[in-house]
Amino acid sequence: MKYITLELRKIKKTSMSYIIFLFATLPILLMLLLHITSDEINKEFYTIIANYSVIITMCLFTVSIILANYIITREYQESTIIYLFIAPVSRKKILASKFGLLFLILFTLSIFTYGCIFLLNVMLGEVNSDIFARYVAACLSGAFLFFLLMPLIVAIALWRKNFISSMLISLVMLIFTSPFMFTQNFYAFPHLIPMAVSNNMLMTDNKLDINYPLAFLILALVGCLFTFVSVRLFEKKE
Amino acid sequence: MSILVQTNQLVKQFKDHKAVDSVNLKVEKGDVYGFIGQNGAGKTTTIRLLLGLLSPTSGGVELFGDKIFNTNIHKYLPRIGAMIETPGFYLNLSGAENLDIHRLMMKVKDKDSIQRAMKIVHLEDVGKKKVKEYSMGMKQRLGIARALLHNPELLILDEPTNGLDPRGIIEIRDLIIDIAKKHGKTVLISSHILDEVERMVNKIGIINKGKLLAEGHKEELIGGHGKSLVYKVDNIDKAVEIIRDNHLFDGEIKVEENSFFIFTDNDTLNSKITKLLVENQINVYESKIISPSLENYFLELVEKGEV
Ligand SMILES: Nc1ncnc2c1ncn2[C@@H]1O[C@H](COP(=O)(O)OP(=O)(O)OP(=O)(O)O)[C@@H](O)[C@H]1O
Ligand SMILES: [Mg+2]
Repeated sequence: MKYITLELRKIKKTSMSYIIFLFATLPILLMLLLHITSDEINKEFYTIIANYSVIITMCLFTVSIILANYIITREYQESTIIYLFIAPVSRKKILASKFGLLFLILFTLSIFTYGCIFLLNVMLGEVNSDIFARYVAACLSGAFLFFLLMPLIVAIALWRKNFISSMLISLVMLIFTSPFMFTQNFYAFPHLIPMAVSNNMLMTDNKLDINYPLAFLILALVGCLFTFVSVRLFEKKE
Repeated sequence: MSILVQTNQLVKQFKDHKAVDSVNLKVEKGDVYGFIGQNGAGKTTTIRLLLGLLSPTSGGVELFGDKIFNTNIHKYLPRIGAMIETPGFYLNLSGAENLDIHRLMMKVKDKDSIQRAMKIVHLEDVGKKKVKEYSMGMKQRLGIARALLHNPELLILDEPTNGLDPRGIIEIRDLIIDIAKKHGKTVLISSHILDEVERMVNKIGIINKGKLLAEGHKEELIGGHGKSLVYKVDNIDKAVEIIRDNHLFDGEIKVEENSFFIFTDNDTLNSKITKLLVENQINVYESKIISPSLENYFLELVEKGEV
């Protein structure tokens, strides 16, 4: 859709480009660092990745939260939203193009990060087709499941209409609930599911016990519900 | 004459407060309509209702002769160009890039439209500069360029001179006069500064506390209100008595703290009254003729409305 390219043009030359770049390279550098500093026993590169995969998913999630909040709230804070609304384009389409941009960037970023780490893995360790498959699965499932969470973030942004405020809400939500990831009842916090799933995709043993269909169902429901909420908030004419 | 904008008993209520109260306004093709009201009078709210950015609590809006609903507003939006309150832009992009985004949103194919609009508002040299670096006046002009970009028939400008210095105000005024005359656009322009719009409009609507107090041709509205004479004297009561006794003026005389007003169109009366007062040993500190201005008319209406 041409409106997605329009959304892309709006964020060029903003701080978002740096933030995306930073969060794309950060996990790669951290993994390298862990590899260099780890002791002999754990030297196998893939083991490090599998053990610390949560760093990758956290980075992906954080950057997608920042980006989602930014592309929504800036339209209100820079008073450009009025000029989108007086154009003969339906509000649903405008919102859809924002989700489109998030989808695009989330997948590109995810593929880039996991791709680079895989390449490092090739250079620094041993890989086989099984490991490659694990990378692909972690990358795609992570990006896709995170995307299902985007409506929730967008709904918060549309509700607050203020970057700082909606960022705080999203991040507090993320930070204070992440410890629950390693407990049994993390289904209560749907945003932990993508991390847990990505983690499991990479792990060879010590897997978290996840009921995949249930996890997917919960996320899909959250996605649908907040898509509905977002559309309602976006179309509201006070 | 075709009617481009008409509202019927338009009401917008925010909680317990009516921001727009039974407004019936009418803008005809070719008008330059001054929509005047003080801060908080309801100008922006009315304009948002016209553009479908808000839905009315009751009453309705007609654009280009058709009743507007949520479902058909998109049909008429391409025929309207608007600037509302603050001209908002993507600050990280240049003026031309901002207009290009609007061009695509408005589904305008012709890329030259950007340069053309920039030229009308005299911004053709700074098109590549980031909007972040624009001055307030440049932003206002860029806002007008955006409103003109898709060559609309109707231009709605909400306080386009807000926050500008006197020179900037004159520039914008000349620009709007130019756009209305040369490019044949119908313009609805809101303002709380009457003097500014008085010179460029042919029609006026005055809004106060959400109510449209008066609407009509500028001449009609002002014509109904003659000139007035003002005197500052040392003894007001005696002065009024003398004027009455000599039957110089039998109409209403309005007395204020240290001056009194006589409402008349008779210019020669001024010298007669001054002469008579001086002859009666009354010190006349000041005497002058006040021409009717929109300002006075407006203040009068607002006062009446508040009583
Ligand atoms: N979204 C809103 N919610 C509640 N009240 C509102 C809202 N928008 C406007 N108002 C109120 O409605 C009234 C009219 O506001 P409006 O912005 O239309 O005035 P205005 O004539 O444009 O004034 P100004 O010259 O300051 O721009 C004000 O009292 C304002 O507080
Ligand atoms: Mg206003």
